[in-house]
Amino acid sequence: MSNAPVASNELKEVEALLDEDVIDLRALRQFAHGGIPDQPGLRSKVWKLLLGYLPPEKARWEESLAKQREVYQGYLSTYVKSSHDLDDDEDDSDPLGALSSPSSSGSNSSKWDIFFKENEILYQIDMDVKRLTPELAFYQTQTGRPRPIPSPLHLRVQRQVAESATFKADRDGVVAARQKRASTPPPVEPAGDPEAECHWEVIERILFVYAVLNTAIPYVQGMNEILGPLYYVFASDPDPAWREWSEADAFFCFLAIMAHVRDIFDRENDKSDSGVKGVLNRLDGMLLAHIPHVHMALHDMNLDLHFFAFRWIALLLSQEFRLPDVIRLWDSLFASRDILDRLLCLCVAMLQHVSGTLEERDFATCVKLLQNFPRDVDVAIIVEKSNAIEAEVAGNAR
Amino acid sequence: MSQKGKGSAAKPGAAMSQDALLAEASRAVKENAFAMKRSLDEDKLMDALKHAVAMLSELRTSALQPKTYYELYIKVTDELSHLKTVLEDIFEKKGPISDLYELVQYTGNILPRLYLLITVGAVFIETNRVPAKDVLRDLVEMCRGVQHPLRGLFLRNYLLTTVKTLLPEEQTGEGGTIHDSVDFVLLNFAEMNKLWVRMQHQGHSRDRTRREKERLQLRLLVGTNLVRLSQLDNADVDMYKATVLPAVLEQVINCRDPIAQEYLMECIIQVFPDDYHLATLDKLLTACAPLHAQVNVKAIVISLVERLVQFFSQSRADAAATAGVPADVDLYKVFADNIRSLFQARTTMAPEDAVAIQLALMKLTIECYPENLDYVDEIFKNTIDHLKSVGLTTVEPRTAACEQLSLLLRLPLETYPSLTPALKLSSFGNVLSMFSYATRHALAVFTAKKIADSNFAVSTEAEADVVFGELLLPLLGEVEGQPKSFHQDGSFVEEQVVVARVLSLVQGVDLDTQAQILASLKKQLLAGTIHRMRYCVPAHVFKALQLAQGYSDARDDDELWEKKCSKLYSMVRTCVLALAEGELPMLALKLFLQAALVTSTTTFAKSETIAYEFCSQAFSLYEEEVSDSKEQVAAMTLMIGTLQRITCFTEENYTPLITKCALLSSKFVQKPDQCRGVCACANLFWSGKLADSDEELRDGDQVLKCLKKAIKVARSCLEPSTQASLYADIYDAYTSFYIRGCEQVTNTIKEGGGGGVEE
Amino acid sequence: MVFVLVIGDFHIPHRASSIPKAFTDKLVPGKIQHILCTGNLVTRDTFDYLKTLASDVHVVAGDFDEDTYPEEKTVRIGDFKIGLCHGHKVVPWGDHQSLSTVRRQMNVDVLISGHTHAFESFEEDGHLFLNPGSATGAYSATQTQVTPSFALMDIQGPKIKIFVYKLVGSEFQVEKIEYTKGGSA
Repeated sequence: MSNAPVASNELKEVEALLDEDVIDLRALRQFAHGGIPDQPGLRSKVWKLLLGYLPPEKARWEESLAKQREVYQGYLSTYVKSSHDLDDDEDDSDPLGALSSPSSSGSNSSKWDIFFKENEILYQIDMDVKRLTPELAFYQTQTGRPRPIPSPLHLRVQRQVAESATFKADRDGVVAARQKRASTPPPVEPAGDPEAECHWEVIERILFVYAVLNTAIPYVQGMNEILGPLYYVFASDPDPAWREWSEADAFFCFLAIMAHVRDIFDRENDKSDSGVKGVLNRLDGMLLAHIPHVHMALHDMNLDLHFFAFRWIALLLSQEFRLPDVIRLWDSLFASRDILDRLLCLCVAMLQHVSGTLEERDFATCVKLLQNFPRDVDVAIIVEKSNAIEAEVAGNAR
Repeated sequence: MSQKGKGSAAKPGAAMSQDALLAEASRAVKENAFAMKRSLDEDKLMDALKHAVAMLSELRTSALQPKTYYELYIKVTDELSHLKTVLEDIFEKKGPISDLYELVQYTGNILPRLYLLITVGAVFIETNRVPAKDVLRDLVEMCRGVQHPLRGLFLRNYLLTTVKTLLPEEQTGEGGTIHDSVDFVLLNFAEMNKLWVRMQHQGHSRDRTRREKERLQLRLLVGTNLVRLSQLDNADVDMYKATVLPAVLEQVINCRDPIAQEYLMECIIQVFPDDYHLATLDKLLTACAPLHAQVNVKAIVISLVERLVQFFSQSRADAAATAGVPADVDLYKVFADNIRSLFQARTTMAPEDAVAIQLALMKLTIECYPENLDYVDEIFKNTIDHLKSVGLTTVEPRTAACEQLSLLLRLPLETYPSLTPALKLSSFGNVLSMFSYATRHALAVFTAKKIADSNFAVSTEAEADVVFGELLLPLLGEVEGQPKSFHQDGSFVEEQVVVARVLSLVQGVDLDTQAQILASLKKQLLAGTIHRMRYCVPAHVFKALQLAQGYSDARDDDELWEKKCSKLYSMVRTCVLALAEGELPMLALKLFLQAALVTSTTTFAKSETIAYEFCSQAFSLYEEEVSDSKEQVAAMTLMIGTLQRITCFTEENYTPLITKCALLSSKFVQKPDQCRGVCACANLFWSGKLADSDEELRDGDQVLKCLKKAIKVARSCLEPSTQASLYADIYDAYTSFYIRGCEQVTNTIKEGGGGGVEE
Repeated sequence: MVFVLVIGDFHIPHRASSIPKAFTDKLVPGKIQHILCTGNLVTRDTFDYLKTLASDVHVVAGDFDEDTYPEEKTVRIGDFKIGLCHGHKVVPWGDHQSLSTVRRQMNVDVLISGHTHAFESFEEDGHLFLNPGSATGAYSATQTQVTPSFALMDIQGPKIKIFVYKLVGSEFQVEKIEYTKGGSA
């Protein structure tokens, strides 16, 4: 990251915090809220602590990590099946399920039913991870680690075009193969180690495991945008001992984040306070309380919060700023005990930041502005503004 | 009394805005209400009443429009309720102030007096001091004193809402019975309706539009009476039938006011329960005929029908056995009769409205009497009769009447789960004859898709008559009014494919029925142009061939089967020839070959002759009509494959045919085609079969002759790569006959006489 | 695992109105990777339907097809080179030996053909021959009772599991046949 060189006393401060045998989480939260210095490997560690993946007692790290990583390996071998795993099965149920009447299915669905249903989700994940932040080449590069499963997961849903040739007598009557249609998209893996895989494959796998484990809200477009930067931070850890396990670590930290925002993705059952409607209502209330002029301006224009704030909140602002800025904002987010609370304060701060334009009440301009939030904004200012709002909220609560 | 309020009431409204007037009046209300409350607090009841009267006097204004007057009314009655509460309190604690009722009667002005009387009267009833019925009758009569429509309507609304919970609902009782309550509300309703109607006739005629708008704003006040009637406990269906509905309808009809009539009829339908309507259908419908000419009777009837349809489908879904279609009344008859008189009485009704009413009735009929197709037919008939009686013999496309009539025709096709009952209707033709080409065509496409997508098999001649003779007519042949370039229309092919799908579904209940259906279809198809035949004739031909095979399979059951087969084959011949004449020689050739193949399987006296005829038709098409070299090769390949399969020929017929194949193959334009053609022909001489034998021909000499011819052709080929590929093919042929045990070929190979194949 | 649908001889609208609903209910997008069609779709609608099931659709021309499909095609799927032809040019129709010759000429491991409207699969010289029958059970002059049928091949390395789907009356019948490259014997 290209920020100014880290003030050495800040670095000293955080290193001192991390040096303790039992880390003072409160102090660490406070520190991280102001931004974690871009010291290699530092953020990767602090995020794991903030998200509760690493316990504050250093002595327990080794055991805790080993246990969790083993659990994840277990998930991989249980849930991540390639199509080949199904082949050797002795179960010979027919793939189309012709003989199973639709009414009797459900409890007793065949391996193929499950396989095809999972493929529907995987197909969506596959499209989304391949689209991840194209400006960041990182996802397309190799991990340098062997693939933990026998064959790439995405092969399950890859569209295949068979190599084919047409036979036809030509003018002279010679029957010959022609119109060679070279076919299967050339293998994505660059030459070299065939076992090696790219980072996007890892992300795809994590999302797939998450989807299989969370059948209620399996996978919704956008989750990839949350996992992406998280995994990026872990997988760029300079310490190979950490880097090696970035997949399992990212999975559990992703789980921790989703626990805060998962309900927003549940469009089917949008009744709870933590669902989209509830959260947007909360934001609406905060706008009314803290920046009533903006609230009124939005109201006058009939500019529904849904037009922009759903994406802001559901994707943790990952689409509104450049990656370094997103990561800086996430320092603050993860430093909060309640990610959603701080996220809403940040949203209010963002709206406050552009209140001048909003109050001119030109609908088209405003929608455009909010759907493409100015990327040159100094996020430090946004965080600062949000602090004031957070203080007010806390004050009101008391 | 506030002088300001009075002053403003005296002034014409135009001088001040409604808002300003309201503000001024509200202030007066507030001041007087404040004074009233203070007096009440100080226990000065008489003073309080005085202030109340002053407050109520604000309602005497004529300057306010209904909307504003309503706001003022709400403010005043809000304050008045405070007075009522205090009075109730006093009655409760100290007993009644016996002369209070008389006391307020001395109030000078009638409007405030009546408001106070109602308030006090309600308190008396509530505290059981006097029989409710006496007070109610007294009040509702006294309100007659206010004849100004706006003021009167609100006053009576106050009366109705104030005594809302106090109406007796018991069958017997000293205070009054349900009958008293019904009489009370009915009287109040009648009076309010009169006031409401009178509004229409006040003031300048140029203000009519504004007045109508104002009246619509006030209609709810009148309707509330009906709502109240429907809510009374113990006002059962008998009472509704005997008392309530006749009284309400009397008001509705006699007022001769279109706005009132339309609204109140709608109100009756929506407010009272379904079983009440079922019990009084006739009365309700009869009342529609004499309504004012401007009343939208169509909307009223449709709204009633749809309510009932919903009621029946709902109760069927809930499986409530008690709420089914009544057994004692024929709903259809009641509606149909009334609709007929309605049409007679209302000669100005637009034709589309008349059809819309019939459409609603059709919905009800199919819902209630799905079995009774006569009713559906009758609706069709009545509709057409009515349209004709108003001078309409055709409906133009894109008119409302056309739209409605199309919907009417589609409804039975759409609603019956199977098409079978719908196709029993005999009136489709009559309805269709009302339409011009475009509509009939659209309906035909709709029906064809419906039949094809539901896999419905036309299985009787009657069904065929309806489907092909009426509904699909514009798709099966050329009809009057169709555009000149109909076959260039973007959806033409798509439509014809659907028709062909319908044809391929045809499955007569027995063979003779199927034959009859196909025979009449043939006439229809051949009368059309080649553009249609191209799609429909193949489907028809395959149906006919399948039927011939069916007759042959069941030959023991029908001694006439040979004759019937011959007839079918003759029909096939005619149909396929029509394709050939329409410049589709390849399609015709393929169908002739299929026909020959089938004939060969239905062995009878004439089958060889017929099969030969089919084959020679194919050959002559080949020679006369197929000129493209690629098509020639394709056609000959099929002829060879087919002849190899045909087993009904005796030698004298077979040999010339297969020899001709070999001859024609050797005349292909391209050498490689010649070479492969004669190789294929070799198969005919080897594995072809004759009628009188189970053995293959195994004519090794001829096989060898063919193969040698192939070698000769290959040798004359100049292009080495082509030659090599041909030799490879011939080598394959040699091998295959060697494996099959053809001695002549084996010997040739042994002698090394393969003639260059070994190269 | 690769799923390959083998299907053909629809003859819509000449001899059949539609593909049986029991088939279309089970044939849904997302399951099949490749389709090998033996021809005689007759209308474009049928091709469009196949396209909805899988993006990779290979069709050869039947005797009643008006669209210009190739007469023969080879398709490589996994370890197998598969030949595809309708079969009306193979005289005698459906003859094993003639088909065997065609297979040799096309130089394929598996030969798929149609035209007879009868499901058939056999091995010869260690090669697989497969005829999926008619998906609509279309009428055939040479076949007395036509049963609607198609096949689904599950190609796994050197093995093919063939699931045969037939509609007898309204009853589904599924058979399984296994084939290993070079012959199962």
